[in-house]
Amino acid sequence: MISVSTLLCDHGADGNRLRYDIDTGTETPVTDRAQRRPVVVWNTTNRCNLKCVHCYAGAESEPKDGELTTAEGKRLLDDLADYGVPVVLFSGGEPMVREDLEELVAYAADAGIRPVLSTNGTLLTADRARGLKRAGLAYAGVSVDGLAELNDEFRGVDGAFQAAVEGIETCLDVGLKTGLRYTVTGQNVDDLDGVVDLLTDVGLDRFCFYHLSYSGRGEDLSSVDLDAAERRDVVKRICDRTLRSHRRGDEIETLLVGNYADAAYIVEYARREFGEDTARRIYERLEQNGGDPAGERVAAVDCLGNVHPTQFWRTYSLGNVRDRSFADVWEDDSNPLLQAVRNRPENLTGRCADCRYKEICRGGSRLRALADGNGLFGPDPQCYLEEDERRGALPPASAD
Amino acid sequence: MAESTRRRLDSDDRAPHGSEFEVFVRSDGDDPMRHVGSVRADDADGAYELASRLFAWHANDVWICPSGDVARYTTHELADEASTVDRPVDGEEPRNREWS
Repeated sequence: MISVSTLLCDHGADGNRLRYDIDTGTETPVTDRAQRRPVVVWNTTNRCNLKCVHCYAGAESEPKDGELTTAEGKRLLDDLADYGVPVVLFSGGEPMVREDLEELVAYAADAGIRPVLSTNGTLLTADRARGLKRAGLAYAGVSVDGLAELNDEFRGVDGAFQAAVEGIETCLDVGLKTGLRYTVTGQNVDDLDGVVDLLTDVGLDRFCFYHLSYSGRGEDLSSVDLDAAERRDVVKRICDRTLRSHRRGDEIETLLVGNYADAAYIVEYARREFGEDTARRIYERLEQNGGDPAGERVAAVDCLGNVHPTQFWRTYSLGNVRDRSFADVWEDDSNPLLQAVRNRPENLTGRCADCRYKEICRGGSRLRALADGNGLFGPDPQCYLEEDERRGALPPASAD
Repeated sequence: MAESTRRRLDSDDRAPHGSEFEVFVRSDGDDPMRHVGSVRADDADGAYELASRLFAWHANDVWICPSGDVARYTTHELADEASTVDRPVDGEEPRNREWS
């Protein structure tokens, strides 16, 4: 997760404010111990009330046999708390279909974990929003992927857009911090500004833009993904929009998620907008942040207990929390893939190997590199940096 | 080793989609096979192909095994659907299967 608003509009911010790597609703500094532990995405169920064409989990209308029960979930949360996990993101499927969600959220909060939610928003009634708030939920990220017509087409259910917007309004009404999650593709890129304008009017002030992950049903959509020029253009629009808002005095938060070429782009953008000194300070903050977090600062546990290097990397599991503790799985130094992924700047190949931004990008998504046939350490096909941006000394050339 | 009660876990497939296959690799012929997680695929050939993409840079040998065919006995207490198994009677187990 890259906070565009913090990097471009709050130049004096502490680098720790960037530490979280998924949309957790905060950039508050966390403790040293917690910073070494991953944020954990728990896909609590495979069941969903919508049928999104780009669902990375490949969710369906029914739960899977063997999903972690309430009791197992609580033992998992104990396990994560003992390990020092700072944040659990309750996800799915659609986590709101679990009737024990409030109970699990409360249990996480009591255990000292910050509970946050990723939801399609359509089930956020006033009662449930209040219940979640009472349980200690710290943040709800609500997915909307276009204006009404396109969003409902994406979501596979008529009325999903209206229900999600009402869900956002309900969260804001009960005082629950809420943000937008918008996955940008070639199909919905033109709706982006309209959605942000509409939700700004509703009162939302946090906007997270996701790049498409080639996972689950999203794997089949790689052909409608943005090309490099389109991606560059939309990221520029997001940066421009963020700057304009802050210059007007609107303290909106804008974040980019899922493609660390964005980190390099923002350094280049800052150099053009503010000059070399600011670009260098932004580079240093991004270097602290660490680049693509897969296998390091983000982990995922799926509905059957499998542990994945990220929530998107569904086809490979490091182990299962029913067999051994999450900490034992995550700290298993004998796993050569995990070790290599954690040392990836040394292992990157192709155009990434000599890219000056590889320390703040770390090659981007290994999953997309694999899906595109580039190998485990090959380039991420979503990299949109131009040749002259990748070349040169570190950090930005004239900052030396 | 600690004398703890072991429980047998379910033997169902562990993939929400497709099938799960446990992966074992070794980098040299005189190394033991090492469990390195599992991959999800429609069939064994697909699992082998995926495991190779992930581990071919490291491993000479890649073995895969359907996840549902593995009987798991563990002292870890998370799973609800796990039945406690009796400790084998001392002296009746061959040494290479000693309980403790």
